[in-house]
Amino acid sequence: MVSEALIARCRKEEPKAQYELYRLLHGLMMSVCTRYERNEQDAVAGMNQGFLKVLTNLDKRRPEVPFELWVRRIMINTMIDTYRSSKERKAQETMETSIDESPAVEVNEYLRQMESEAFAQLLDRVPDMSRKVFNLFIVDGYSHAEIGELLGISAGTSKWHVSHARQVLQRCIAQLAGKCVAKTAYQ
Amino acid sequence: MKHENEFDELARQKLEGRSIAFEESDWTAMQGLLKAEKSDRGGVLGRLAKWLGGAALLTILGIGIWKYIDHSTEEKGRTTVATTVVENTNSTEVPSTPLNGTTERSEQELHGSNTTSIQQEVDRTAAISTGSQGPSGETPWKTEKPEVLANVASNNERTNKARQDLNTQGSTSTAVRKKTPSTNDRSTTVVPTSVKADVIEPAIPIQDEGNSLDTGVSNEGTTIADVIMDPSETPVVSMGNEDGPAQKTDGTTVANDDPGEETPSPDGIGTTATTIADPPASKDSEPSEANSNTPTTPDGIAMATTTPPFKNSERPADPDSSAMTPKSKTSSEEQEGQIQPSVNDTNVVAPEPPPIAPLITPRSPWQLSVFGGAVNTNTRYSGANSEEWNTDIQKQWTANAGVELVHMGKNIGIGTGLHYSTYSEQIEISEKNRNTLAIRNFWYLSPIDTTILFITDTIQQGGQTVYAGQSVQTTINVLAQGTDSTNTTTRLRDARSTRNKVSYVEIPLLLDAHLVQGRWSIGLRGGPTVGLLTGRKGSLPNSNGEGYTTLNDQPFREVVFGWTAQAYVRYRFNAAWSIGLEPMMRGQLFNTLGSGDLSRKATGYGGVLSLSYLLR
Repeated sequence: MVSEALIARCRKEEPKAQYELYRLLHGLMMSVCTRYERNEQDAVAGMNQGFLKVLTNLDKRRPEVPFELWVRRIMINTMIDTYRSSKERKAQETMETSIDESPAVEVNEYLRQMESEAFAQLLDRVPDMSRKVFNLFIVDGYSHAEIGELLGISAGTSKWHVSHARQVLQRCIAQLAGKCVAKTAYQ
Repeated sequence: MKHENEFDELARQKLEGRSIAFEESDWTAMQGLLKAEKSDRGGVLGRLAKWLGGAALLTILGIGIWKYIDHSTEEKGRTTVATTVVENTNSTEVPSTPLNGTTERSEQELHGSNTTSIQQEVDRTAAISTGSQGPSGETPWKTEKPEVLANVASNNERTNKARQDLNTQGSTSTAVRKKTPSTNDRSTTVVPTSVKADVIEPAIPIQDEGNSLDTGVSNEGTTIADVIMDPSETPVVSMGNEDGPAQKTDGTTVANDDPGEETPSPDGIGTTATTIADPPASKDSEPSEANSNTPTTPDGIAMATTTPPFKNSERPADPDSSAMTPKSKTSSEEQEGQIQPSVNDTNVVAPEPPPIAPLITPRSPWQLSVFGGAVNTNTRYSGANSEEWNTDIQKQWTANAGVELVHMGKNIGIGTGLHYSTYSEQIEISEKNRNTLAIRNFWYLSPIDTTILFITDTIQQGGQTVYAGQSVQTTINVLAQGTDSTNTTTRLRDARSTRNKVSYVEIPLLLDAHLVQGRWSIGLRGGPTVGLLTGRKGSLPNSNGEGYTTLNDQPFREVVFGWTAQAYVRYRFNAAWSIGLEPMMRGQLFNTLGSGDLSRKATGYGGVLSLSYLLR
């Protein structure tokens, strides 16, 4: 929990306070940024860019908004802005056709057992656009309309991306589960 | 669907539950970014300083231009004094001698006339008494082009006629004031080559001060010599127009007294072309012999005319015969009631007329205006959740008023003021609901009808076992899973129609460009403004979409920057007051909300009526 005193010191541009704040928020910021950017260096760059926005806009923060929530929002916006300004954005992945359905119950069961980091790594296998939409919709709670506006796509496309990301993840989890079963049987 | 929801929930938990260790290298990169940002902030300040410097430079330049224009106007309006210029460019004996100490040149000079012409005074009395006013009341520098008002050394015929007239009336002296039409300006040629010192006869000083002229400058060189119209030495005069105006010899002067034909000098003052003061003419008065020194014609007519300045060799030896007769002498002569001969004293300098109080008190260039009117304001919201409701914003008319003080130059003005501006909008906000779908799984027994075969007996037949059975119809309950869903709708925000008003007192820096045509003036006026928040009323939906926040709780900026522009048409109904109709535009340059993602900007278009007063 970030204290108001620390925020006040950061407003005065005290380097120590800035470092302390950075340290406190690092986990939160990095978890957001790595969800949106699979390249870790780019994620760190985005995080630092976002943190700079946090520092320069401390005066504009409304006190009724929880600080962490505000920081999180800034991080998401920063990552989305970075993505939008990227020239490679046009080179989006094509919409793939349906993927073989895996038994959802088993997948869920396996996912429940999975480590968070392992699942985060699985997320890297999801195509870029779908991963972003999945993050925005599933984790950050944006509506399809909002996502459409943020990323310049339609709400229907957003829905497709969520479904696509979900299928990719489920397939990956199913494969992992299958390997585990095979390993167990082999042993 | 159920499994998908579960998967999503699990995925969210997994992704949010990650813990990422802090790495010092990240902070190192962050420090570099912070340093870069600090230096960049300096760059922003530098750019701001450049902008401000540029603005200051432009302002100074504008003021300079305005001052220059203003100064030029003053120069134009200054009363100038000039004297007759006698030109004889071809005749080297009578060179043109402009006034010393004055920059004014007669139009004759400007026209490059090759004639020897003497511009006589038209109505000196009028000219002097009205200061700079000509006989027609016009300002002298606006009179028509100079004409050759007289030919002192006119042709013999005319001179003789004048002499005869004068003789008839027994005048002791006369002033030859003749005016020729302007068309003769260039064709009139005077060849005063025969003018010599010994034939220069002094003119009788002017008794009437009004006949004398104070040019206000040194009269040296402003020589209008007297020429005795001795028949033997009468200058040869060639006139382009023999039909000069009739000379009037009402006792003392031979002059063209038709004021309508007379033209004031281009310099605004009737110059002393010839000044022959004359005692009250009467037939009983002594002839010119009474003034033994008075030069006379053989006919006994004292002639005082004007000629170009003498050369040194031709200048009379009499030291008192300076072209500029001292005023004191003239005064004493007047007092004595005598007509004293004076050589070359036709240019008598009268005492400087008392300063004439201006008829109209000049007004200060500062103009004070008050205005009031209506402005249709349009407010734009963006950011946050404004997309939910910013499509239903309607423009509103608001009252606006202000006062302005502008330094009005000829065409450019600069000033400031105080504007009271209100920006208003009507927002129709629809209700907002939250639908919650709750899904619950439950187990239940599902009855299933089935047939069960009971083995009732075993029978051995030929070494084989045969089972005897009985089918029984029964119902069994099977455990099954069901899903229960509950859809809950929660009203987050009521529908509302709200009218928001935000008021500012704005201080503009006004630049004005205008044209004046008679009583009408048109112009453009505008510039940047600094607005101070004075009031706000209304409400906006919360950023989280639940309920409303009053504008008083919204983080409005106390100081906002904007712009104003107005065109105006004004009618001046007297020297000081004018009314105007002014279309107006104004707006805000930046977001007027201080924090958060919501942005608010407003503009307005409308018209005002103004009342302006030119300060004394």
